[in-house]
Amino acid sequence: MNTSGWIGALLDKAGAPLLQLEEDGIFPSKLRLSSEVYDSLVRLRYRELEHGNPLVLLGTQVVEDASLSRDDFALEP
Amino acid sequence: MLSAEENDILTRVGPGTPMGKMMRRFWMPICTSAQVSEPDGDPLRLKLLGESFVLFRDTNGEIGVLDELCMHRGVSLALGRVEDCGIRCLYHGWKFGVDGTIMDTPNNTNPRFKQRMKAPAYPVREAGGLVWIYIGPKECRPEFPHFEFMNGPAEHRAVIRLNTRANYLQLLEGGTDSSHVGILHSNQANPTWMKDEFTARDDEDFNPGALASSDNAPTLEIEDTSFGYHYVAKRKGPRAEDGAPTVSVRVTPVFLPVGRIIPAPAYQFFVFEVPQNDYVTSTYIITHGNKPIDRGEIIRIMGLKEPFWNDQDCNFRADWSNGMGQDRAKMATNWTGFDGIEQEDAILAVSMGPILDRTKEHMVAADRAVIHLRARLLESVQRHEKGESPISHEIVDYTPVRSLPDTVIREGERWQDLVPGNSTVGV
Repeated sequence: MNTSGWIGALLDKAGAPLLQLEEDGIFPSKLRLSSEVYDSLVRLRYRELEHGNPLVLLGTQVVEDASLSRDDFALEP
Repeated sequence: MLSAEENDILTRVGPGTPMGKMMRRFWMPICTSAQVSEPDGDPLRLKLLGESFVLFRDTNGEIGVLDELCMHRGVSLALGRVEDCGIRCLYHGWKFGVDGTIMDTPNNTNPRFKQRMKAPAYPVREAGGLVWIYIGPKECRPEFPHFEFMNGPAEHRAVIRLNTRANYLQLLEGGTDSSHVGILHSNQANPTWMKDEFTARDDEDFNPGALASSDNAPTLEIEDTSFGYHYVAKRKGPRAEDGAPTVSVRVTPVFLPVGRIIPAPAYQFFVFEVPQNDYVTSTYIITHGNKPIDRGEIIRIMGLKEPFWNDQDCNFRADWSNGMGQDRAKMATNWTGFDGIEQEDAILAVSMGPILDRTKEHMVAADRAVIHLRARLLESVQRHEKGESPISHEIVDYTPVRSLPDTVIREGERWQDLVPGNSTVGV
């Protein structure tokens, strides 16, 4: 079972620091994800994107970062 | 949010599925003892993890669980006669003991057949007002687990079962999501919600919806444990007498794969969301404390009553043909138009459909307890697929695991110290 890039695990990893920041009143502007995960999110969210919604995960706008591996993320202030 | 593949892995529990294989490594409740109380009483037709079984209590009081369909020609043994220490198929009269021994085959006089063959029968235990079975590989069977609710006299325990038409994960996620308590269960958590006031509900020490604070945006801290994880929901507390800031903490342990303990002031609510199959879940609620408990009061506060539920078949009835039974005329003074904690939880789970499509949802950071539940379940499946033990599998004694009802502590005090057994069990 290849779990690399699983959204559930990424959400769990990103959720902890994001929640901590939010509890401190800090709301990051962007969540950076690998190109592969970004592409899979675009496929899953195509209908919302067609309607003009931004690509959002954990309430934070997602942007592609080709330098990241599938299991990594970065929060932008 | 999950990919479709992750959602399938989490929600599909039949034979051969990754989650189904992992769950089969555990003892699971299959019915309540009360449902099969009489020797030679009616057999029960039951489902667990997508498989069908017949359960009966024989003349000596022993419980047997066999594959539902007779090994001879496949007729349901749930239609059979329970008599003289066995269950007899109506079709050709084949009779089986609780361990699957073939006791009689009227249309087959070859004695060697009975000696060589056995009907598939499963290990059974009765404890804590529940009947438990193990349907996994024989060589992997763990020791039978022990929970706190299995201790003490029977009158300190109330056992309830309901069967809901929703995938187990919808119910389990709801049960691990502390932030919904003060909103969905407003009628129980804050009876003066309609005046935009907060009144703590401290009149019923068996109320799992009792909150000490009106703060509906609790902060969460999650800590992994050997049984899964426990988490605290922290809400703003009143100032201490010396003016120091306080927080109200509520701790919920989640023991994988399907259990949790919900706190109430004087009792612990052990809840197991056991999949009958991918689309129906048997919820077992065991209320337990250090004093006698009125089961009727638990049923009342849970809202388990006609037309939604009865104590005989335990099936929860709610669908869109009658608007889920919602009384919208009551909603000026009743938050949901429903009546009771489990009624509300079950109806919301049913409203999601049989299996929620989690590719479309928008989780936020505050949903972290649910996000972590999924991650831990996926981790446990992954471990099992790699040939390792699933999370919680090695634990035999869960007795020290505790939930904690809303408790006010000073800011900075360790909530873990209030539930010390959670960190040490299984270590």
